[in-house]
Amino acid sequence: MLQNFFQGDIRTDEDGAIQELLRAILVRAQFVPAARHALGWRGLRQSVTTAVEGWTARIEEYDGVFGICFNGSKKENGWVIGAFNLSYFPAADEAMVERCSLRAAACSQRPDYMSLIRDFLQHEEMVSLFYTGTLFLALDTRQKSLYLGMQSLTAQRTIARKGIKLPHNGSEIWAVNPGGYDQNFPSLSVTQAFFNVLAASLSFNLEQPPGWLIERRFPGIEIIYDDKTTQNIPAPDIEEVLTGLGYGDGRFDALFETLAGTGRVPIREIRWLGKDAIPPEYSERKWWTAPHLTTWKTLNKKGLGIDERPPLIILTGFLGAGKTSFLQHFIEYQTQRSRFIAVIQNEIGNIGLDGKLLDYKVTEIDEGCVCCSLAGNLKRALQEILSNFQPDFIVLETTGAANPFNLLDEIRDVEDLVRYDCTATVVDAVNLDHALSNFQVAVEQIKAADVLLLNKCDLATEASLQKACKQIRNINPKAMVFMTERGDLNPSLIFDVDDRWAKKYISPDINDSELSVHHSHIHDGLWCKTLYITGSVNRDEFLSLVKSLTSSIFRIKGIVEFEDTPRPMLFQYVAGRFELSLFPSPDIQERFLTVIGQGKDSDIVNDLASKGSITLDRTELNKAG
Amino acid sequence: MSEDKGQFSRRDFFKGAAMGVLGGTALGMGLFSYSPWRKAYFPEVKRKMVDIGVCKSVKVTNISETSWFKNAVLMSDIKAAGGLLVNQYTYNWPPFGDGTGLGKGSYENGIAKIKHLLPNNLEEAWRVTEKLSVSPDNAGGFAALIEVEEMSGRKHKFLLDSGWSYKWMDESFKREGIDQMLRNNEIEAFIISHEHFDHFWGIPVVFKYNPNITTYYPQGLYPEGLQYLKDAGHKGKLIQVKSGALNPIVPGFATYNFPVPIICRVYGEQSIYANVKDHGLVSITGCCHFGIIQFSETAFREIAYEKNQLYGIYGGLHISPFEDWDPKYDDLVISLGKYGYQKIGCNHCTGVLCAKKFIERGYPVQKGTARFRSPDPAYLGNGDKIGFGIEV
Repeated sequence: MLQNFFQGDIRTDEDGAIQELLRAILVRAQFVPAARHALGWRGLRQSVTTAVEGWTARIEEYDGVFGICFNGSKKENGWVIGAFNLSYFPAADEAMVERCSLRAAACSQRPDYMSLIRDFLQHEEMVSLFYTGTLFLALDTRQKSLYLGMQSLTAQRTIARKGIKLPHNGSEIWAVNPGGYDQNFPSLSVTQAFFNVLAASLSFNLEQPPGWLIERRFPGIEIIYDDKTTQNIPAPDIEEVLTGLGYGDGRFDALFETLAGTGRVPIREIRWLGKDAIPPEYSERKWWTAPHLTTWKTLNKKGLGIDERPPLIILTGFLGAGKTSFLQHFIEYQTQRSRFIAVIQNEIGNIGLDGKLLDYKVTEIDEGCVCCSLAGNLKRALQEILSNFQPDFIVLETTGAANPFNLLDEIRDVEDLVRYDCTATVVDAVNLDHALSNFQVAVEQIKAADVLLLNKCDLATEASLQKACKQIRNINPKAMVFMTERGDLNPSLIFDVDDRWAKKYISPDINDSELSVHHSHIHDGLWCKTLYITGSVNRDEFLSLVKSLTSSIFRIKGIVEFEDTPRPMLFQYVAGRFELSLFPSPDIQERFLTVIGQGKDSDIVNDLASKGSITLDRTELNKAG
Repeated sequence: MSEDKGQFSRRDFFKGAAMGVLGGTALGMGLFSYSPWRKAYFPEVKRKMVDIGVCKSVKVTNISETSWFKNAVLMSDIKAAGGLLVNQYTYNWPPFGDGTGLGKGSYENGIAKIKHLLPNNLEEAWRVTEKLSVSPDNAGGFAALIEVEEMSGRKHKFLLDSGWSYKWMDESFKREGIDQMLRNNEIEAFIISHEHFDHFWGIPVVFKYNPNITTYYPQGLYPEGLQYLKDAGHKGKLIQVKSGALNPIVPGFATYNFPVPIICRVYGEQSIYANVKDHGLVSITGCCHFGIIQFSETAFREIAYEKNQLYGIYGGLHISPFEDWDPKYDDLVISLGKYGYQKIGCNHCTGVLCAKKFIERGYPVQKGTARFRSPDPAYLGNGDKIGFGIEV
């Protein structure tokens, strides 16, 4: 039963093996993005200290973070039972904070709250303050059956008999009135939410649903305290709830009695065995359907809440803003997590340089502007990709001169194939002014964005950064803005990871009347030319030419080789600033420069072309768009 | 403060308090109490400080870190074969191709085509499998030579992993002289980090030159892997390294198996710790699937090492195998910054941009030469060497 995901040995090291089992359940549920998402995970992090292993996690529909830490194991009736404390750290702005204890609420507003959560295993009080329930994981010593259970109160309530006064503006105010609640936390629903995701993950890993279920409720208690005494008293409206699931063929009843304790009188009990109808209270839980996720290729995915369409990200940004740099980071990040990205690019210029920079399957659509020439082609490119691969993400990288608004019709046309995720626009913090004042399309790109990356922040002054921020905020007040250097931004900050974002960015936020207009784009007088270079060029001559360029040349990129260093170099030029670096694949044969400028043809093209080794491409792209 | 009918808002109150005059004093002055529902108790675990001895120096030669040549090919194969949870032996990759196509293979059917050729006729075996397998040209492999010098000056050589492609690995072995070292019994043990295709499937290339070599494998190897060790012609001593326990091999040199599920149905990864005199602990890893933090914390918990210093690290550094819940947090900083590693040689699954970030942040990354199909000098690439306690 276990062998696909657990190879530990419960007989030799009980504490170690039961933690190893939880680790295996948690970790293996993260591998496949669609399954991970469908199971309800929204992020997981291992917290290791020398003493115990713990985890922090986010799950669907909860803004806060859950903390799990091992709390010991015992051996009984042929079972090894591990107990794990579950804590819930609500987000600082979450309404749930009001129902935490005052002390926990105070903690949640500390500036270092998030790092306290990350390191909660180093602060025992964090576990106690935010404790919400206990999880039990048990494995029989034959390793043939598994038990997963939880224990929680419908509410954790503490009453401050004498109330609590806190100093405020020189006087004292009642934070809790006498006899009021210090804490009244809805523990059961929070604990159950996490238990559901964990149990679904166990079903998923075992590839089978539980065959045994129990729920037993006992009368609950609340705590009443003052400065002298603390008492537990019966609370008529609070219940203690224990739930357990059994997998495989084990003596679950005996195990459960151990956990529930003898001599207590329950209020009620639900008991279910594999052949009965599932109790209605539990019929909707994911742990019944999760086993099918492993064979989801053949299943009705909609019924399981799986959207098979990969998310589509539109990546825009004006010429030279740093789209490719961002894409490189994005791809590496996903690759390290074993995810597969398909990139669709359309480059201005005859040669798709960016395709050569990326170790990825790249389908380059017709060159030229997406909005002008893509009609029908995006769908074809997507169909081709989807029939050959199952990418986890698809990125459509538009040319720097494209207006993303013109893509929206196309996106609607491919909604059956992909799930539109967001439009991310990379903005060049250094050359923003120039772009905005000369090119309406640069404005449109910012306007269309759900996410704005203000890039090259390392090259801009503080004052100009602030100004740039203001400018883009004026154009687009709704988008998330991130400051980046060299396009380096953790992709999960912006893409897909969370439902909250999905809700916010469900579709491009523009109305239909705007759609009918063909938005302005490259007809701002931009042109593009490709210069082919045969052999190597003189470094000094080349660089002095480059330095003499006027502002009418906006962007150059390509591959050159100098007489003094016979290796292909990547040349990147944006508005007066340039960079030379070794081209990653030394075997590349092409030597070329793609030049984009505005207005009258600059002399550089002719100057470069007049050097014997450089020939001007015959098919000049005066239209560039 | 909240204007909600004079309701006391805890969030508003403490938000102000945290930044204003009150600071954290309300808590400290005991102005209000709280009664914990459950007092957490963390067992006090003492560092075990196991003495694994000490060595004079460790030298690592990167035989190959290029596990595959095209990531796009690899990932699309995995995807099309059923995904990351699927048993790797079913992919129909070399050397276990049986001609039935992607995702339809099995160990038994694959090995049947080449078993008679292992380990002595690998050229022919590879020719056979090239025809029957999916994406045979994409196979590369990961392997490293580790040279440990005892305080007495006595030297030991170990081989970490065998790579994947028979062809590529044989070339790589010859390039670094590993074939001769194996033949001459200079390499005293072969250490298998984990069962992944790119680390493990090239084992016949090792056994071709020395079938009697002592071999350490991690607990968690699946039955196919154990059978492959036999079918590939291994005749020597076979030692299982148990999870969660140090496995000392020579003074100052031990391995440790981390029990963790890994993609493509693999379980557990064995890594190496070396305690270098006057320098500190050196960690050598295949992929570090368990994460660099656990690697470092385990070292701290288990081992006594020189100067209490985590000194060096070599190999593929999986920073985080899955998605963190807080993307704003930069694992890079805590993982390598926090532990204060003084010499880093990284490659394989680290990510070139990630390696470049280490360099940008001023971490002591030893650069490579980007030869023999290694992608970038930020990696300690194929044919490059790194020394700990010794200059190379």
